Amino acid sequence: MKVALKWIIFLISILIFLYAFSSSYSSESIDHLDYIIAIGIDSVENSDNFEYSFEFANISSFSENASSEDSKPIVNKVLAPSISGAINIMNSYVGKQINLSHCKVIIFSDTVAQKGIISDVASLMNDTQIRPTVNVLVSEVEANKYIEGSVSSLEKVLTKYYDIFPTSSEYTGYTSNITLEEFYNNLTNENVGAVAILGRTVKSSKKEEQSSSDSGGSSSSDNSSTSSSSSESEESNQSQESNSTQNESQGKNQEQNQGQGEQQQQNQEQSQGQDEQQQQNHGQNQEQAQEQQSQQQNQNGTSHENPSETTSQGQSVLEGDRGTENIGLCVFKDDKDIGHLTAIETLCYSMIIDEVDNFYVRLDSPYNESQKIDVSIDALSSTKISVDTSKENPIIKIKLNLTGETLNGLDSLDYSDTKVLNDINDNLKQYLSKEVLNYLNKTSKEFKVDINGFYKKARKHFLTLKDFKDYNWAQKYENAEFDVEVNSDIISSRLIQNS
Amino acid sequence: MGNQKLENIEAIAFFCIITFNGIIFSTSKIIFNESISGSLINSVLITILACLVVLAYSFLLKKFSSKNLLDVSDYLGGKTLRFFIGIAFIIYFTVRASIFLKKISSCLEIVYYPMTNIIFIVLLFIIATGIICQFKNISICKTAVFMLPILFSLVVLIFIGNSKNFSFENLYPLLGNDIKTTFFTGLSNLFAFSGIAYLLFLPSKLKNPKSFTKISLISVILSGVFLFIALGNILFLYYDTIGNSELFPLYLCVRYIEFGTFFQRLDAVFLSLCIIGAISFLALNTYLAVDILKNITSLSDNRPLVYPYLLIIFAVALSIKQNSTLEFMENIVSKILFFTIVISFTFVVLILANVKKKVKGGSN
Repeated sequence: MKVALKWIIFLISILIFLYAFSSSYSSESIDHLDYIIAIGIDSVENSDNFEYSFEFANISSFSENASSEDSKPIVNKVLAPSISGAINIMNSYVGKQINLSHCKVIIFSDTVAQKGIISDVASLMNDTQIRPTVNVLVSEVEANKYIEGSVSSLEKVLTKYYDIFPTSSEYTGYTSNITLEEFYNNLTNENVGAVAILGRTVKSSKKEEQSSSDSGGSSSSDNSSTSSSSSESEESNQSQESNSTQNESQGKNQEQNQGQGEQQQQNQEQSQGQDEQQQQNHGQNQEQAQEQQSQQQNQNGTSHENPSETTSQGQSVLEGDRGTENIGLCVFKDDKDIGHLTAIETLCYSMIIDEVDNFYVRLDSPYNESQKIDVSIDALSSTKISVDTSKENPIIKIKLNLTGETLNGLDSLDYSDTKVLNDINDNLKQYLSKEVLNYLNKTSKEFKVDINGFYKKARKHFLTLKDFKDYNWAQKYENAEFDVEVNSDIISSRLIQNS
Repeated sequence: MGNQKLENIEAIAFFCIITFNGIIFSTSKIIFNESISGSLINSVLITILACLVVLAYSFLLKKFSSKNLLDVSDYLGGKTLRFFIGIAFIIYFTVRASIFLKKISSCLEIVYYPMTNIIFIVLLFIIATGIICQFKNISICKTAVFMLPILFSLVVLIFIGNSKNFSFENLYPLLGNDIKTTFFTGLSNLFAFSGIAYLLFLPSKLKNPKSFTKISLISVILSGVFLFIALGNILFLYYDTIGNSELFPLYLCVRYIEFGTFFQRLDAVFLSLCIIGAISFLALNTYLAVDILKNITSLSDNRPLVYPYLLIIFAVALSIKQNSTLEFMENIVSKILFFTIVISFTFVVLILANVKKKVKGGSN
């Protein structure tokens, strides 16, 4: 009798728990879920709502037999005042519950980023499904255009692409692997500014086909202006390719500046309802950056030839199967986008935070400026940073330890000669020191924000957090002085010593 | 539930499982929020303080060989004091277990069972603990011995797995918020070594009561190392942005760990091991509370007390509705109870009992 009673109690308990947990089980069941792999957030003209684009995982594209056509993304859009509201509406639309545990990237359009994004970032951080390792990206074009353009036949599984693309930072330095957790922490930290990956569209054969077939589509004024600006940048790229001499390149820079100015004008027209002051500041920042860059290019005959500089902001040198590129970084202060870093500036950022292992630069030959030398640079050891807070303004010392190899053989140069290697090395040091210094001055004088986290080094000189708060790092950084030392060593020319 | 004598390792595991679980689920977050970059120094300080406290207890209990706190209270103030001390400790154990139960259940509800009523999650733990408590005490302690290396290696593995994400500069400024918080008010974080309360009832259960000092010291040092690594994990990863999270910080740390693209989402493994550790904690807590209840009421068998006691824990856990109440219970009530019951009452009783013994000239 006792045994029978025990069994009855046991079975009743099992039934109760099966019933109690079934609702959670069914809501989390794989059959009842739709997985999101990317979220795009765009602004809507004259409205408090945002346009949220959800890119869904296309399960069929995971199969071995999937054709390239299968890789077309499934993107659903919804207008909502917040990400939570958007998810709610989307849940009712798709029928299944959407799940964010496989979300790989969150994309904010530039216009949204300029308005401030802390609310959406905090909502996403608060979602237990979202991983802290999700990447944050700011798109120079609309986020939904970026998502649609991110398809490529080279990688049918989009989740894999989104997983892998930030790792290119390790061997190019043109982007950085910015995660949501890091982004949120920096956004809420008064001592630093946050950075996000910068994305944009490039000329894509696929996209052209699509746009020709969708010519009757309802593209907004934003869309048309964006595409025109991108086509402008593409035109400027084409002109870039045709130019080869230094004088021509100066003219090209002017053209680029004009192109930039037009682009900004268009952007300003687009966002009439936005905070104008901020827009102007942002525009000024961009103009200043552009001016600095063109001045620098004019002064230094080497720099304009570097691949890192031909891929500067707003101008793509790419054309191909995938309609997007991720080069540069977007800088935030107080949760608002205040400007962008070009490829070379991003490379400097990556060198300082020890993210890049290997990159390429193109230098003038030390003996003949018309000849160029490609150099592959490796980080020899981690960057040494020290901050002196004993004086009125902080002095930040940065020591880069690099080693390099020349990649192209030149008739006039004998790489077996130590003097030749030393001269190239001097050129390299001079070039990198200048670029890093320009970048650091841009962050402190123009952006007025520490995006490299130097404050962590400065904290060493304080005993308590209270002392450090009293020091007011954020304000002091604006007047920070920099001392950049590049220790490089060109050690070989690989297979060709002289040609 | 029998009353077999415990080996040294089982006693160490007893203490450590109680402390480890507390550190994982709540105390690490409390210490971190209070001291931030000074939390590592604070953890070293409170470990030294905990060593001194257990050495003092060992010294005071020396003259009462193989006697626990209840027996000493009985010697000092008769059955009334014994009853009073017993009830005080049962209240402390119940509050701690209830807070703990509510914490882990809320975490599971948020992460895995959003549509399930929390009653059922709490009930699962209560039933599992009840079933375990039907076994002999030695089984419960042996489970603790099994779980001890698992929990310890878990926190070490989290440290190793997260090391690439660490920012060791977060260690600065060395003294944290301010000197007062790290060195003075921060000493109240001694309550992280909540196992000390359970230690006071162990001498009568040990096979070798003379090893009490050794057991206490090893347990405190192991717990100190565990606390140090756990705090290191949080500090090097977060710095000052974890304060407002409802989930426990080590779980948040595990979410970062990725070994390539193949081994991701190790948080599920971590939570499943934490659940086993939590049940082990609840079983040890119930075993001791019920044992005290049996001793003060002179009952012959403690098994009938298991489910009523668990029912009280169940009710207290569910009575905490809001997260702010839970935080208050963790930060304030738990601390006050620890310093009142485990430190003040105990020291007073032990010192007076020693004085009485000295006056009486060693006769019991």
